[in-house]
Amino acid sequence: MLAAILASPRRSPNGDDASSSSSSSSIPRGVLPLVLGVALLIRVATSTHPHSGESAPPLYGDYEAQRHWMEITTSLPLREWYVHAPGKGNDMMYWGLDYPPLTAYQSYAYGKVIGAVDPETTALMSSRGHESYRSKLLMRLSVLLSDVVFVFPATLLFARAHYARESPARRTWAVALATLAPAQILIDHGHFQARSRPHWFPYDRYNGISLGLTVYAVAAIVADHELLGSALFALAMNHKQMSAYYAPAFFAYLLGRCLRRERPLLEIVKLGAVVIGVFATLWAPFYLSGGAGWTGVLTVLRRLVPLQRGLYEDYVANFWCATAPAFKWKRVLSVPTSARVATFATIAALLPSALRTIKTPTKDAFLWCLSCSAFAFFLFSFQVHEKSALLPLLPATLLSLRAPTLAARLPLAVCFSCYPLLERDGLSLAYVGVMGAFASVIGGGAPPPPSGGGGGGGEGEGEGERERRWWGRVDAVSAAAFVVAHAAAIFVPPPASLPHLHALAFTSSAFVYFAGAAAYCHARLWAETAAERAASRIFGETKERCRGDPDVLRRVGEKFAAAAAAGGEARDRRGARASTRARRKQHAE
Amino acid sequence: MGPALEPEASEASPAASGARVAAPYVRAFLFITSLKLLLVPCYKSTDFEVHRNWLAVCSRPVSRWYVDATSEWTLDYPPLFGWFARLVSIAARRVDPGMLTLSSAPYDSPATTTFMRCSVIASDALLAAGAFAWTNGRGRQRQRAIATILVLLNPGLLLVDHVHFQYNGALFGLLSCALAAVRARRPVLAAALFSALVHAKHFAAVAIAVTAASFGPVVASGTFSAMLARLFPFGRGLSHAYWAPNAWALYNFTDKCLAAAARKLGVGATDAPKAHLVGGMAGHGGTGAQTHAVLPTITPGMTFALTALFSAPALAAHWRAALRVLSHATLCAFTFGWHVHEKASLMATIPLALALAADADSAGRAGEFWLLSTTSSYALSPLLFQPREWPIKILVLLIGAIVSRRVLETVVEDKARAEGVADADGGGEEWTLLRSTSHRAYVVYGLPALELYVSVGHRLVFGEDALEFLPLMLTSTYCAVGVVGVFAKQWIAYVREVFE
Repeated sequence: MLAAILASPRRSPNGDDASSSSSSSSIPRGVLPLVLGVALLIRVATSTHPHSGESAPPLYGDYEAQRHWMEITTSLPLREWYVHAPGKGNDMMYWGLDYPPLTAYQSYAYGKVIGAVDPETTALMSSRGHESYRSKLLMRLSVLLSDVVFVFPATLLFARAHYARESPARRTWAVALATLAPAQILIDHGHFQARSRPHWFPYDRYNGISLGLTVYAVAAIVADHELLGSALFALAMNHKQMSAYYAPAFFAYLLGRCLRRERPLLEIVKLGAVVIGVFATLWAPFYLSGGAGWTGVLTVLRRLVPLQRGLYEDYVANFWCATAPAFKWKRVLSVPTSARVATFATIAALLPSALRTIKTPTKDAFLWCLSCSAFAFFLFSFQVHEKSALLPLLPATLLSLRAPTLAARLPLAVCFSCYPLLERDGLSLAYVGVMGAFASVIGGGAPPPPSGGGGGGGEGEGEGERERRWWGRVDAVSAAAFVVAHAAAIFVPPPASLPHLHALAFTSSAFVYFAGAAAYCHARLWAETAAERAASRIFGETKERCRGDPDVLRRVGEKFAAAAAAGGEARDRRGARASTRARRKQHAE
Repeated sequence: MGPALEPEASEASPAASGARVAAPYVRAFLFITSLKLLLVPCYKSTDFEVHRNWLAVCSRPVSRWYVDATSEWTLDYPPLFGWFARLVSIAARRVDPGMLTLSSAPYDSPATTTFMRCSVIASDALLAAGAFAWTNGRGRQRQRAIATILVLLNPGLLLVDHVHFQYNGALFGLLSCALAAVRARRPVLAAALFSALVHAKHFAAVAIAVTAASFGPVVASGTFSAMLARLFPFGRGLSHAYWAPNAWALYNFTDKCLAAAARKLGVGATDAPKAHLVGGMAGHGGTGAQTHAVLPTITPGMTFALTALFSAPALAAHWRAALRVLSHATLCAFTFGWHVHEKASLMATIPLALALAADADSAGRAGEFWLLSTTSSYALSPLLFQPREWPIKILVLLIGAIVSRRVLETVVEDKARAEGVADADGGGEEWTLLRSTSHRAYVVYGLPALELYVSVGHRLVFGEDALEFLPLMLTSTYCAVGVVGVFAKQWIAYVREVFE
């Protein structure tokens, strides 16, 4: 639908189609603000779900954890935030704070504001389970505000930095895709309840903040502000420890870049200093507060690593859960052993993509590596939660103009994998609504790039003819699985011996999809780096041979045409891109 | 958001099959349906209980429809709606039989809410079909896009039907289906045929037959007079509790001001009690007979006469542009009618939207339409007074105003191009209202300022719960200026045509 709007002709005053004269550089006025307006509207509307069934004691629901953290941080001195002291009102068994310091500071800031408007919401002890119309409104507003401050501008900045050469229509489409992706909307803005949760459940909101900070960091890095980018990513890590899923990719890309500079060691030291500086600033208060020293820091650290939990809980679309029916991991492995096995598997899974990115650190490779690394963690690491699928999803949505099909499908698959969880929370209707809105706006694909431009690659850049045929098959199969799983969940009651059969069906089919998506991300990372290597090799050769020759561009082109003709269809495309890149470099020289 | 405003040249390409042409339209429908699903848990007015009760009443034998008074919300829609409710009640019984209990106390359950909201959403398929049929035909994608955005994605309709709770979408769907059917038979004389539907003999016969089929069982059951009393509420006051933004809002406001001034000066009017100010305005449901303190009290007869008088020139001048005339006539009825509800403004905006989509001749109305639809949509906003729905309402109105303005600009540009005007920006009659600074200021600065006062300023100035009627009265009066202004402009134009 959006593609159609963006394709509508803009007429210049003399009545001609502006698009025909100047490579469609303009789009209908005000589409971008409208896209953000719609993204906001969808979020607000989702936050009204579900309208019934307020939670019950003793743990309540609806934002209780977030609200409780505001209560704790605004009422107690900083050194007691992470300390189990039921006598003082901080009972770790009752939604104890288990996120890094930035989340605590954020709770403090929001708690101060909300407490000023509605003091009952943050009163120590007496506010437990406090759920007034006003307090809920304020909490919802704070989540909304977080998205407006973190997700929206970060996405805009990223699109401007990474897709600077793309047409405004395509950039707008990319922004729409990233801001309307349904999974984060449902998880942050949907009305989660805790009734059905074990007490340790990582009660989570404000994913928009850590994901937004990550996007800010990515935007800074693709705009070549690497120090700023690493500082921002350090902030993201200090908001939610799950951001560590991206750490290998950031590390690999930045290391790879440093190694190609004149003084690699100095560059590495500079980056390290920035990251350590950010960490030190955020953690220092816990060291200094009340002269707690390292014990203060260790108390916080211990809260962040939940080693006492099992390999998996519930049904998650990752490797351990999906293979559990065939191989009873929990019965075979003790908790510490399974933690070690999971860690080893994760490292093995993320290593190839990280090494590849260190060797060839291009910006696209960095983005693909983000996805690969997050997938490695999601599929193989210890104690993964359903909603962690948001992490591999984020880079895929950012890469929407490189892999439009993946970017349009993966958000739906992530929602699908979370459906058992969402249904339990009464969000089925919101699930349909948010996914329908995303599919209808994004459906129809990205607007085609302007023809004749030197942007490299034709329609659907990055996806060859064969690849698109493959996607057609995948779409057909996954649509069938989608329909069957939902129909079965509605019409076929599970057998008494297997009450969680439907949940298992959802997560297992989602696991297959995610495994495929992870493989695809790896394949694209390899293709991207291969093209870059070819480009730089030929660039080096030609530079050597034709120094000062004005005819150089023509000869490079011919060389590529010959190489590409031998190389088949896929390589032809990559060759063309490499050639363009070589030409650009030449031009810049 | 809306579907393609694609260049029509694309239709020439062989790849543009029927399915592909309809795809943006289907996506737009899917989008708005998804949004409606997301709005299911929103605040709903007493109209929800009203319709719930009608569902219960209409699941009973026809003879009881217009007699039953178990609940205070008695059936006051024509029988065709009763038949529709009966159809819905069949499915309702399977979802939650409690929904069909006749009781004076309201009934609600999560299943009931979801079911009834979904029945509204489903009945909107009729609206989609109507707008689709109305713009069906070769080379009409552009018209379809316009109709989609102005009708299917209409913010007023969205707020009234899917938040407040009513079934207007289905009714407008019926209207546009009827219009499309008329046109399909004689495409060239479509507009003329529509006039004929109302006035010519054999079409009147069809109309009577339909009426008879709908009203027949009611007449047979001997409750016809009970139905008439329900359908035409002359027992109520001149204005609804919250004044619709029409001429009477201005009239009432003037009356209040004069009464206040008279009291200040101590001149006469001692019989105008102060409480009268609040009684006429605050809250819903206070619909007692309304008298004026200074100006003459208006009787039902007078509203009829004024409506007839002011709609006469338009009817005399234009037999052909039936839709525009229909819109003008309903606007006239809205402006001068007795006990007009603020939601009735949709009766004027939707036909005008269909007219704008249908023929280039209507392009001159683009500016009027924008002013009218924005103002009357905003006038609906006090219906959704809960703070939780405030951002939804504001975003819907804002997005609606911006999108419809862009669409109307393309409508005018199209007209200019069709007429071969070289300089589409240069002016021309179509642009005058759309570009008029005073009109733009009225909407772009005036409405936000008003909203700021209503939602924040009033409380700061007077404190909580004080002078509750004032924001409502200001909203009515301010919007009435726009609506009556649009009406006056149209009316003067029609009067001129009659005398030319």
